[in-house]
Amino acid sequence: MSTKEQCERIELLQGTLDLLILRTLLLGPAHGHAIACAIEVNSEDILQVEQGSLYPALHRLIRRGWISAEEGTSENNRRAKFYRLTSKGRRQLTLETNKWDKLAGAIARILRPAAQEGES
Amino acid sequence: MSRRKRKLMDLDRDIRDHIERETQVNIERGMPPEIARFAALRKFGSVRRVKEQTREVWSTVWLEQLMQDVRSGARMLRKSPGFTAVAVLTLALGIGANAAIFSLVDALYLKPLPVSHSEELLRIYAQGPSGGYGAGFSDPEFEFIREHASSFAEVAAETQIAQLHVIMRGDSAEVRGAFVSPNYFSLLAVQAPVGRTFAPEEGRAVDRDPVAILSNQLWEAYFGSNPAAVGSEIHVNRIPFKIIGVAPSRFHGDIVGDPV
Repeated sequence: MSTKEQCERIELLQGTLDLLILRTLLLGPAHGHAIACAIEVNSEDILQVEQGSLYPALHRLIRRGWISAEEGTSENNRRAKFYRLTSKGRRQLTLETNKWDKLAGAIARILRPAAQEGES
Repeated sequence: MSRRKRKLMDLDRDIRDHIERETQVNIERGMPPEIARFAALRKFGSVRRVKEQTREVWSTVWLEQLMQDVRSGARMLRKSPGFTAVAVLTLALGIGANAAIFSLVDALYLKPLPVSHSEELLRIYAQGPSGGYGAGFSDPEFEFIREHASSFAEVAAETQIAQLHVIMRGDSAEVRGAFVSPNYFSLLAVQAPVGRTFAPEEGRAVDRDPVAILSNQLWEAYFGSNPAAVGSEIHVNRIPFKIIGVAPSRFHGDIVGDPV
């Protein structure tokens, strides 16, 4: 990995990985590797997720009852553990998404007051 | 296999699966297999750290659940204060009774006698005609044992501790005490912090005035720990005794007098 690539990538904020996992699973059950790939692709490779850090997060979400895990077979008949969003997790995702929108909006307003003044 | 061990093996397999999939993806992208695996491992990060952090999640969530249980337990107890009071009282009484019994057993059996060389002390009993131990010795028997028991450095005698009627400074009291031979204190190597212990001749002279040694508790309760108690007179079962000393505070036996 070159220095340039490292500069462009952004490390995840504390706690945001949980939100991203819940959002990814909204599309349907997936195994760990698929979740990691989805986050990478959907963020257009900007978010730097160490794939291993997914696992503590997944187990935390299972324990909170927001996702469930079940054994299954993936493409080409390989064994895989699939994670599925629970209804409790769905509610949590709505809650967290609203919270995130508020936070992002507030930070943007503080960081860009000049732009708004310029517009008006 | 324990639950925890099974969960750890399960996590191992998940991590292995993940790295294999990533390796496969890399190979499909055209990487040579060894490099594909290396790249997959690098992207995954430290396997050891991932395992540690996942285990941490298990234990902290366990702690959270424990706290929830404790909180809900406390709520239930608050809802039924009557039951709570009875339960707490029962526990308190049980603990209190156990503590009391333990301190008694501790004082009677666990703490050594507060004398030097308590491990060298032996108590001699006579076997009675019925076979039971506990029969005493007569005065001549004691003298005979004392003269002939060469295995012992010294032999002293004491009566069983009995309830005695004592009059001290006008107050009458029922106290527990025993009559002992004059060498009792010197055998146990117990010194009197106030006054003195018995002299050898004080046991032999029949017409001599009887003398007594007070326990520390009795001295404190009836004489206010006043050293002037030594030399004063008390009546034990109506017989006048002269106090000659006070026993150390840790030495039990409420009143000890020499044989009359």
